Amino acid sequence: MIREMNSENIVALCDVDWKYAGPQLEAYPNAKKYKDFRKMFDEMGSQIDAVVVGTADHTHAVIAARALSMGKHVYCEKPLTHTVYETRLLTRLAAKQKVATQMGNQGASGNGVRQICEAIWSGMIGEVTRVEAFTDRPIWPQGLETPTEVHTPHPELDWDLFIGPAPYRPYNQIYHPWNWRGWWDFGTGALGDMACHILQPAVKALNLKSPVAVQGSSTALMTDCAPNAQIAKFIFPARDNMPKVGMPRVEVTWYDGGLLPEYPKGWPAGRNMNDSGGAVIFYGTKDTLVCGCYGVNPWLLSGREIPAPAMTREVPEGNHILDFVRACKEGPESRIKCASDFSEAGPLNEMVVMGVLAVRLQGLNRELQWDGEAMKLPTSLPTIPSE
Amino acid sequence: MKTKDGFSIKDGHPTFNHQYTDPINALEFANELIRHTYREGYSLPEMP
Repeated sequence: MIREMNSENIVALCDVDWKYAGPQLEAYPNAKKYKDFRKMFDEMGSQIDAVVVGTADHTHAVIAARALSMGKHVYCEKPLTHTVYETRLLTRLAAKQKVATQMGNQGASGNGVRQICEAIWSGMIGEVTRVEAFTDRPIWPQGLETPTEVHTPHPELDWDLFIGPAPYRPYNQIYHPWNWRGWWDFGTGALGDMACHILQPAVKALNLKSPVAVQGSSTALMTDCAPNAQIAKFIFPARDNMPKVGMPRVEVTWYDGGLLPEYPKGWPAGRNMNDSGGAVIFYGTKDTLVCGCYGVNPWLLSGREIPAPAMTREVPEGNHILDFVRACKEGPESRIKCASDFSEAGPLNEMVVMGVLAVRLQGLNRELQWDGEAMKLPTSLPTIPSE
Repeated sequence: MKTKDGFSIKDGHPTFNHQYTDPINALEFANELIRHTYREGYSLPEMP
């Protein structure tokens, strides 16, 4: 990601693991190196215009919020944050500071998403009341018991800094590198990792904000590790109609870990539903629209052609990262927002982490009502039984 | 929630070893999932 920004002056790099990050650190000999982002901001804050956050999920918010508070532009990998509160905070801070922001769900800048939006907004598939989506992830271990063995981190890894704001736990090689994605304290499982990519076209095209109810289920739910496979259902109320199509109540269902939505009626036998890591199926009253992960390759079950997008802004070469660089260099009054500006990425991410919450609260055996504005569940939840 | 999800064959029979957490206060748990308590040394700015 950083290498795509080689046209810019990279003044500082920060990573808790200088061995894992070695190639990146060596590629920028003039950049000052840090392990602690707090120290970096203290020492280099005045020289930094923009910050790219590509750490483990649980540290996105503390880093991005600090950068936003200092008036820096922020590109943050997906999921934007680990919790609803953190997402709401980043969204509001970004709006207050009038800076350029972008979440790292690259498909948002692609022509596939534009095509999907314009097809739905034109009324081509009618009113959408049901969306189903899946990813073929995880491609890291999930469903694991908490390790009891304690390993010694290599000298170039500062494990305490990796833990950051999360509760301390001893190091084990199963957590880092890469596999933190499956551990609740650090990652958000396959749902959090991929739904920001896969559900973005649905949130954008259907103008979804907070769900009013969520429900989760999964394979064995362990205390610390995301399950091997999950289903999460989100219910959204009706939204304001668009000029050419109504926006009624819609149910969005997510599958991962090898689970797939049912094939829509008329599905071409033998066609693999998985396109680039997943798919989304939009059930409209006039047609069914299908696209792959990142909103790629949209097509209609009827066989009709979807027109090339013409109304929405085309991001040059669909380059999500360079579009952020472009936005950083524009003034706040004239800036054209990035495709995944936090004002759009925020509601998407809140939905995604609510899915994680629903899976983790599945022991309540109910659909959870959610007051998105107040960020509150019902105040009279019972105790979750032990099994 | 499970703390152990074990399985083995004993004397030719499938044997499961499932262990579970104690009952969980759902409201406290949910509130922590909505807004984390951070470890000392880390904090967020005030919500605008």
